Amino acid sequence: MSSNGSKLFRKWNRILHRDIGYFFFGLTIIYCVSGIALNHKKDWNPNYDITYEDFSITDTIDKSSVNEAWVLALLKKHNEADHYKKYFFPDSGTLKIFIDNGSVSVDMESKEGYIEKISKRPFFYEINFLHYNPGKWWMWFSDIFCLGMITIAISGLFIMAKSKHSLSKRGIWFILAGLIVPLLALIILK
Amino acid sequence: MKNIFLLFALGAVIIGNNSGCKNAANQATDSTKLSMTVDTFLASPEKWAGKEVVITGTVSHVCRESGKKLFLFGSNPDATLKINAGGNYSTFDLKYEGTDVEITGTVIEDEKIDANYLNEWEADIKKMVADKNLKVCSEDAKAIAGQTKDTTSKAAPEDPFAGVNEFRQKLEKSGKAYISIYAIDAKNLKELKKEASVN
Repeated sequence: MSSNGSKLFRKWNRILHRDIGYFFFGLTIIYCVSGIALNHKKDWNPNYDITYEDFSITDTIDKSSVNEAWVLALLKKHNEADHYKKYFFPDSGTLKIFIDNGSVSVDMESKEGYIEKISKRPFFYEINFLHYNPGKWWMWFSDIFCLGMITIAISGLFIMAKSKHSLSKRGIWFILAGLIVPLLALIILK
Repeated sequence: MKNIFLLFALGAVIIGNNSGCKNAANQATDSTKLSMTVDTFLASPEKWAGKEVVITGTVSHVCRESGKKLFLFGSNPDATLKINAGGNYSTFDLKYEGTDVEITGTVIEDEKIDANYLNEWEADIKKMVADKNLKVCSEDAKAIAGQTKDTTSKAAPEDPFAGVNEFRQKLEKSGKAYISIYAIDAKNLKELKKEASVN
């Protein structure tokens, strides 16, 4: 490449790297933070904060003795009567009552129950929502984002002018080192 | 800056084209939708395979981990139908639990219950029996049981392997390599008016 051609290439390479990087800064943070959150969903619920409150009942109940009045009386004791939605029996020994933002479960044999309250985790709920591709147009936008990331990665290889830190000297070793981890994963995990 | 404008323009063109396709698809399928309750569907699920349906029922459970599936029941809470998120819903909100909804979507073959599936299922149950603290979501199993003619729980409710054993017998009796279990790939969800009570 001629000197002028090389200068022009480096100029546009820097422009692309810089401006696409600026433009996708927010989305990169959103995808990375939600990615970490969703990676660990076995250890925590990244979307909801779920709390449990145990209680006992004194009445002896079975399917035939439970009605809406009994359910409402139970909910009233726990200040949840205004949130009542409906109830059903998921199996012969369990009563489940749906309330707004949660549910109540009662083991009719042991007379033990718990109230499950669910609230959305602020910030995480929203960014995880975006991570899950909420709509077709968002899917296309996230595809463009991925193309942007590829462009940033490739243009990043040619940011440095010829020196001991450029791609052909230092860079190539770092690239190879970075590829070892996914290769090892393929060998070990597959 | 030129590059950024190019990206915007490209995005706008793709989105514009995509909206057009979506509208056309909606118009094409509106006339072929079949409305039914969960009970009607579960009576003969294979009849609706590949068809666009509108199903009404009550949401018994929304997957806590991913929100990517929910389960509907009709008159019998033991028999549920699995709904996969899609279309306007990438995930389902937990607020739908206990709510009457109308799901529009396509009937798909969601699982093939074959000998391998049953072996894995049995291994999971063994793990659960060995480790009392291990929690395994039973909602998928309930949805599978909902599409079999006999209820597995009535035979021996205390036996954790009752469902697997019954499926083995069914598979053998059917003479097929697998039993198909159907679910709905949702395109839309409509919350129905809140009723005073159920049951």
